Amino acid sequence: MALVTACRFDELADGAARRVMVGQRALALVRRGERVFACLDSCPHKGGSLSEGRVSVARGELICPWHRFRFHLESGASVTNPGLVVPVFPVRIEDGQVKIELP
Amino acid sequence: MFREITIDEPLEKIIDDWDFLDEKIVSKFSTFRPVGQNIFGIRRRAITHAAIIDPRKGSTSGALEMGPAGILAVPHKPLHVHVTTGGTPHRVEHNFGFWHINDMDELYLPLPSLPGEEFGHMLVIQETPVGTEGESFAWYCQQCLTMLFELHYDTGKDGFQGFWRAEERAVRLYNSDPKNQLCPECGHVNPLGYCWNTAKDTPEERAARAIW
Repeated sequence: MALVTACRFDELADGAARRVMVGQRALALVRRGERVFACLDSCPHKGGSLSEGRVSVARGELICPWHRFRFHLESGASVTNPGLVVPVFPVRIEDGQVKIELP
Repeated sequence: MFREITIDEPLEKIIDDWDFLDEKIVSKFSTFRPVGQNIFGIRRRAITHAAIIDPRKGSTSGALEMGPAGILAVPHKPLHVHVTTGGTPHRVEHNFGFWHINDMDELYLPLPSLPGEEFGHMLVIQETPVGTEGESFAWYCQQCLTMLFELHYDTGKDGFQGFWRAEERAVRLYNSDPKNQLCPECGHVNPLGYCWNTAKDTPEERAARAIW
């Protein structure tokens, strides 16, 4: 497990998604209040960029902009299809930095 | 897609069957039927530049697809091939009351009637899903396009023969709970779903078919 710094916390807009490159991986970061969630920036349906999608703050979901599949921020599981899961990664916020635990 | 068409029987045994639009052949493809690596459907339709009319359902001209820009009308035109690329939610208004999301490409070719004949034919061809490839029956909010409900069918694993049962199950499940039709985003109450086959319609589903 590697702990990798992705960006500063204050670079993330609340209630929005942002794409960051961490090594060879493209990740979608979502800030929801004081928490940040990280997942692969690729929809498991057809590869749409999830960081270009909309965030439902109320429901805690990230929505693919291509075909509107909805994913739980916490688990990465599709709201409508349990077989469809986007990999998620643990996030820590330390000293104003967003750090991601990568396998 | 369509990289190879194979058949199990010797060619000389079926050579008379290669006229796909012969009425005795059309009747075999009135729903869908696997042929080699592809699945064919042939439907009798009145086809003009103005409209495509199903003799039982009325106008089925409203072909729609969903992409990043939202819902797009993709009208099927006589003698024009249209391909719905794999993964694209699509539906035809009044024809089937759900969004079909198929891993495979689907090809449509409307063939207008010959002079003096009432009906032409709509050809629908898709590659047969294999392995982990499958499809979903899905519903989206009419107002804000939030995905409401989805039933996935593992066509590649469970076989195309279960497709219509899966379709009916999806429609029944979606219709069985009003919560499924209530959009969690905007609160819009969406209409019921319905199957492709009109014989499966309940009175409520028949009413839904008339409006969307």
